Amino acid sequence: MIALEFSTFLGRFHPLFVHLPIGFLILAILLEWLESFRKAETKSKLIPIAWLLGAISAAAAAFSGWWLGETGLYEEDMLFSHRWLGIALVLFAFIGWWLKKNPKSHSKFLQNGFNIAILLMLSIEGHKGGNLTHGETYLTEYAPESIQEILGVSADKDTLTILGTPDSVLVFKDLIQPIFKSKCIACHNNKVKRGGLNMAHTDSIQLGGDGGLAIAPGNLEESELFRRITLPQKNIKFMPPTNNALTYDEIKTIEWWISKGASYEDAASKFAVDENIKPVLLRRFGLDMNPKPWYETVTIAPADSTKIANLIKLGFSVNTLGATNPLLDIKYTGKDLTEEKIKALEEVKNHITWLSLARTNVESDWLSSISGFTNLTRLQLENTSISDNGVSYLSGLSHLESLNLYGTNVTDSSLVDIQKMNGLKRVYLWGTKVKSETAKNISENKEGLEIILGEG
Amino acid sequence: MCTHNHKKNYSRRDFLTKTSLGMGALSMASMLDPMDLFSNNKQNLVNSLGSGGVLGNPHFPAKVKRVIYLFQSGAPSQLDLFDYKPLLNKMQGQDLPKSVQGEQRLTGMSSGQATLPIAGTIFDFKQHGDSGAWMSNLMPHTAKIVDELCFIKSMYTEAINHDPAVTFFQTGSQLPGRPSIGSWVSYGLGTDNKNLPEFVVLVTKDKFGQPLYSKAWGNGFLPSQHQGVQFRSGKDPVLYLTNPPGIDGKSRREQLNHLQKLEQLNHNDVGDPEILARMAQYEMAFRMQTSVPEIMDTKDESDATYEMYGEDSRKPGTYAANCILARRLAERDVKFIQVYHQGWDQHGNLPNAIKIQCKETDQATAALITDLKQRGMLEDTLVVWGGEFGRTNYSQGKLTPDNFGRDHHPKCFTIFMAGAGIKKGFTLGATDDFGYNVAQRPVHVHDFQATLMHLLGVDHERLTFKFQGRRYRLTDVHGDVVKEILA
Repeated sequence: MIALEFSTFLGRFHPLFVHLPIGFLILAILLEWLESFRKAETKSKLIPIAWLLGAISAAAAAFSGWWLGETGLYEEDMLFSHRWLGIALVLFAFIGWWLKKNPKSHSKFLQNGFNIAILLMLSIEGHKGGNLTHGETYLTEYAPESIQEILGVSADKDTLTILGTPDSVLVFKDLIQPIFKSKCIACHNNKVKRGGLNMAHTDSIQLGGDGGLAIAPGNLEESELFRRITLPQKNIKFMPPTNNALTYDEIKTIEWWISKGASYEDAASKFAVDENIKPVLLRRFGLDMNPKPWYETVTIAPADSTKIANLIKLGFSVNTLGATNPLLDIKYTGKDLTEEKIKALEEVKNHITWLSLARTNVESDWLSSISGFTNLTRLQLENTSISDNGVSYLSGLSHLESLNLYGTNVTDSSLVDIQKMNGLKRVYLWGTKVKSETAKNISENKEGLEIILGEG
Repeated sequence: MCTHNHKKNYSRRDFLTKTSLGMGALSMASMLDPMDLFSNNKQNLVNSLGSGGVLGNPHFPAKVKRVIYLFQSGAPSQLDLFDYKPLLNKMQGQDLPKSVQGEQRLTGMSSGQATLPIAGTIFDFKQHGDSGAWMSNLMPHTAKIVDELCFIKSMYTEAINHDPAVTFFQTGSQLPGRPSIGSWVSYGLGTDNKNLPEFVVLVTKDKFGQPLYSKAWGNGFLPSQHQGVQFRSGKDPVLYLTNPPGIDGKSRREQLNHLQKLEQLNHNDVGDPEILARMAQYEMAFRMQTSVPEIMDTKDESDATYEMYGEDSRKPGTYAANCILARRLAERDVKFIQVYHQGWDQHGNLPNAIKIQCKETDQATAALITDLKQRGMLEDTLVVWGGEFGRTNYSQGKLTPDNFGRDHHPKCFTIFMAGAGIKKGFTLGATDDFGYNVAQRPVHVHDFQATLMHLLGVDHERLTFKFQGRRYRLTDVHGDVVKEILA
C-alpha cells in the first residue's frame, strides 16, 4: 500500500493549497473593479499575474484534492460535485488569465460576467469543500436559535435521537447500520472494498471479506469485525484505522447484536435483553427496554375540551396525565355522586386511565358504565358500598393493573371476577369480607397478581 | 390605551420585559409562525381548570402524586443501621489509614484529634426479607418490610455541617434563600385539594439538638403562598387560624370579602404580585378553619391503627402521631408532606442515643409504609427516609468497647424510599470496605432531587423561576435522574 500512502501524503496538501486561488482570484477581481471604479487610464499589470497565480494554485489544489478524495473518507455524492466543479474552476481560471492579458480585445460585459461567474464558482466550491471536511452543520451549529429557525436548520447539538419503543425499533436498521455508516462504510462499500468487505448491504455484510466472516451470528469469537474493532488501538489491524474508534456504547451494542443472533430484520423487542445492555441502550439510543405501563403506549387524540369542561362542571376533578399524554386522570370527591354523572364519563371513556370514586356514594350497579373504559389502568373504589355485583362489571377490563376495593362489601365470590381480569397486578382487599385463605389460593394460582389484605 | 402604567410598582426590568421585549417577542413569534399567535391550545384549557400549578400538566405522566418525606434531622449513623462493614470491627481502634481518608476535610470537632480510631458497630447485623437487605437490630420493625424498600447506599453531599446540609437537601443550595422542594412542587404542580395547603410540615415536638429553621420549608423567591405550612400539636395546629373570641365565621367571611376588595384595588394600583399571594393565603386560611380541625381530629382512627404505629402515636406531637397525620394528609391529597425528627446527631454516646432515636421512629416508619400499602396508597405515594449526611467510621472522642461517637461524614450515607415508581426490595450503590468512600454508583443530593421531581412528572431542568436576572431551578445546574431505581 505504499502507493496509496504516498498519494494520501500528497492529498493532505489539499487544505494547504485550497485557500490560495480563493485569495488570488478575489484579489484580481477586486483590483479590476477598483480600477474601473476610479476610471484609471492604464490597466494594472498585476491583474493578469494574480489570475495566473490563481490558476496555478487552483491546479495544485485540484491535483492534491483528487488524491485526498481517493482515500475514500468522504461521502461519494458530495465529493463528485466538489471534485468536478474544482476542475472546471481550474480551466476557468486559465481562461480568465488569457482574457485579462488583453482586456481591450474583450467587451466589458464579457469581462464582468466572467468575474461574477468565477466568484460564484469559488464560493460554491469553497462551501462544498467546507461541508465535506467539517460537516454540513458546521456553520450554523452555534448560530443563535432565531437565526437557526429562519434558516430552517435544527439545533440538535447534544441531543441524541430518541427512538421509539422496543417494538418499533429495528436493531440492525436503527442501531447497528448507523454505526457502520459513520465508522466503516467509507472504506467498505460498493466501490471501495478494502479487505474484500462491502458493508453497504445486508447480503454483502453476510458474505464477509478476505479474512472470512465479518459477522458470525451468535459467535463473537468468530466474528472478524468484532475482533478488529476491539483490538488494541495501536495494532495495525485495528479498525477503523482513522482515529475514529468505536465508542464503548457502540461496541457494546454490536456485541449484543452479534451475540443474540445478528438478525437483520428483528425489532428490539425480539432480542433477549440482559441487565448489562439496558443502560447502554437507554443512554445511547433513548431506548427503554423495560416494559412500559399501558397508559404510556396508548396513542389517542386529546379529548374534546368541551366534554372535559362539562365533567368539571359536574364536580369531577380532571387532569391530563402529562403535557404529551392526553389520557385522563379523573377523581370525584363527595357524597353527591349520581348515576347520571357516572354516565357522563362515557363521553371520554377511551381517555380515562386513572379513575377514583373512593369515599363516594357510588353504587354497584352504576359501575356498568365503567365496563367499557378500555384504557383504564387504575381504579379506586375504596371505602364505598361496592359489592360483588359491582366487581362483576369490571371483569372485562383487560388493561386494569390496580384495583382498590379496601373497605368495601366485597366477599370471596368477587375473586372469581377478579381472576378474569387479565392484566390485573394488584388488588387491595383490606377490610373486606374476603378470607385470607381464599385470597392466598388465588394469588398462588394466578401469576403476577398480588392480593393485599393488610394487617388485621 | 391605558396610560396609567407609570404609577405601578414595576421595576425597571419588569417594565422593559413587559413592554419592549414583550412586543418584540410577540412580533417575533408571529413572524416565525403566524398561526401560533392565535392558536387556541386546547391542552391549556384543561390546565386552567385543573390543579392550578404553573406547569398545568406534568411534563410526563407522574408515577407519584404525593410525597411523604421523613427527614431524620441530625444525620443517622448509616454504619450502625444499614451499611454493614465487618472490616471496621476487625480493625477496631486502629488509626484510619490516610489513603482512605484522602483529601476529605473534617469538621473542627474531630480534625484536632491525634488519632482517628476506627469504630466498628456494636449492633448485630442480619440480612432480611427476600431481597436480603442488611439491617442492624436497631430497627426491627423496618427490617420486616425491607422488601418494600429501595435503599441508596451511595448518597453523598458537599456540606459538612447541619444547617447548610439540611438547606442543601431541601433547597438545592447550601446558602439560604432558595425555595424548598415542597415549594417547587406546589409552584409547579398546584393542588389536588383546594382546602388544604399543597405543602405541609410536621416537626416532632420537644426534640432539640441541631438547628432546624423554617427556611427549610421556605418559599425563597417563589410567591409566598407556596411556603410550607407547619401543623403543630396542641390547641392551635396552625397558628393564628382560629377566629378571635367574639368573632363568628360569618363576620370573618364578611371581613375577608371587604379586605379582598381593598387588596384588589391596591393590586390594580401598584401591581405587586405579593398582594395576590397574600390574598390567596387569606382565602386558604379561611378554608383551613374547617379542613384543619377535621385533619387533626384523629378520633376516627381505630385502636388497631394506634397499635400498629406504636403507643407513642396517641401522644400528639410525637413522630408516630405525625406519621398518622402524614397519612391523613396524604389521603386528602396534600402533595408534599415533610416530617422532621431531630436528634440523630450522635457525636458521643452513640450506642445509647441511637437506641432512643430508633425506638421513637422505627415502628411508626414501618407502620406508615405498611398502612399506606394496605390502603392502596403506595400506588401513587412516595415515602422517603433519610438525613442530611452520614457519620464517620472513626470515633469522635474516646473509643471504649461499649461507647463511642461519630462525627459528620458527607462522603457516603444511606437513605431509603418506598412506594410509587421505584423498585422494591432493591439496593443501589455501595461504599468501600471502610464505609468511608462511595465505591459504586455515587448519587449526589441534586441527583436525588432530580429523581424526586422526575417521579412527580416534572423535568427538573424545565421547572424554573426567573429571579435576579437568571432562571433558577431546584437542582441549579446539576442533577441527573437516577434511572436505575425507577420501576
